Amino acid sequence: MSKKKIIIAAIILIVSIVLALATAIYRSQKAFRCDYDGTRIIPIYEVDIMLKEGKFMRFCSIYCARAWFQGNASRVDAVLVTDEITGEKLDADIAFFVESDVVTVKATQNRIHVFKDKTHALSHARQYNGKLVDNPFKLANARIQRYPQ
Amino acid sequence: MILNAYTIVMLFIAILTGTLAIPLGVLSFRMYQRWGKTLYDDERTAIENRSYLLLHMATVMLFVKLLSWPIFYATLQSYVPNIQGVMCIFGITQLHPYLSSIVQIFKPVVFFSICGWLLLNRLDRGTETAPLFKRKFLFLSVVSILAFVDSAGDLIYFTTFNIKAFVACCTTFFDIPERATAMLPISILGEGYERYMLPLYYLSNILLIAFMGISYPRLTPHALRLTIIGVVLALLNAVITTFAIFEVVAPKIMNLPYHHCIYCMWQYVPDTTFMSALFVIGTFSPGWALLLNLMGKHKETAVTLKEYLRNLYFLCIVAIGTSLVMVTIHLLFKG
Repeated sequence: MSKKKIIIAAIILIVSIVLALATAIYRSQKAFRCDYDGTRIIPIYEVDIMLKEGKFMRFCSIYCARAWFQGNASRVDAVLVTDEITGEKLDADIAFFVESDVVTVKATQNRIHVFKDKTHALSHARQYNGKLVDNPFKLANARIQRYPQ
Repeated sequence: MILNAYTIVMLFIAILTGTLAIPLGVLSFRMYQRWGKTLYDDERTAIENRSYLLLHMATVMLFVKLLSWPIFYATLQSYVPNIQGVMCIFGITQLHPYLSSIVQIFKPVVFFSICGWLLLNRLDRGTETAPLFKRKFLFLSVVSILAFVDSAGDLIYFTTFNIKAFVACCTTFFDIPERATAMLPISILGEGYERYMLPLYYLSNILLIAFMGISYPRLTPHALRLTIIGVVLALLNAVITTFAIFEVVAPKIMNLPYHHCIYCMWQYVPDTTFMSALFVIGTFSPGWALLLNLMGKHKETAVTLKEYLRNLYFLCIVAIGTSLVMVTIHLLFKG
């Protein structure tokens, strides 16, 4: 085998490794930490909570967000969850929640999944022994309490 | 029609190559026919002289045509922000579902044929009496027809987009439980097929690389069986890898465990386009080796052909191996 061929192959390999490493590291550094337990947030399971005072909190899973929410509901202005299929952020009030056998974040053992479409939620429930559950962030109730008519 | 820089480049390539492909196809077929007759020396020289211009034109035109495959996907990607409700290239393809399927299937065929012809032409140019002249021009006329059809397809495809049409998002196709890429593995491996897909993907790719490595020193123009086995293994590996990428690799790389769209993977993790290109080249290399072995065999080409076959097997090892390394890096350093 000629030296020239080996050099070309080595260049292709090195360029590819650098490219893949750079992309992977860039993507991993973009990840944020959970405001409840400090776990690195996987974007697809992220829950964002907007506070009335204008602050913004990020959580790694429904579990952490709910744990924080229970003690601070009155401070919350909006809860945004992430559709597990597309990664799209949506208001928790219009999302579908499924509790299934699949764990999303190992650190919290969270088993509640979020979907934008009901068909995806039901399909996930059927595939992974799950069931539809209520929105864990009862913000609508909290708002009624805050602004009684 | 959506007009941007990509569309202009795409249409320019389609018009240029489509227009050149017609005379190229006709002239190369005539050249093939005339070379078959008994010729006087001066007639033979005249044909050879004319063939130089034709071959130059063919080489330039086909090199430009090669670019149209990656530019095709870049153009579709550039349309994503323009169509409401579209997440990735898949949504764009749904504006013309049948035509886009045909174009997308046709492009790799054209790419394979063009590269095959360019290699055959290069092999023939290295000889003194051009023993592959006739075969080369017959093949060129076929490649010209393919290039013409591809260019016509591009022209129709990119000028007839109905941008107001309602299109479905990729999740309605790639993420339903009844999707094609899940049904076949389920029927073969059972419900827990995802567990086996990744080991199978690695095994299949490593086996192909090992076969190429072992065959490398034994590869001669007479070892036709080795090149046939190489093609069979490459095809088998392509099928396994395609299923594995849709079902396991893309969701893991994107960090979207239920999303099986390869177009989204290219969009969210851009270097995977390079990884996919390497995989395609690695898969085509044994095919080009077989093509050269079938069409390029002659006393005069024996030594060069052996070198070409070995180079193609080496290219397969490098390309498949590198794409495997890139997948591994992404799986190890998930974002």
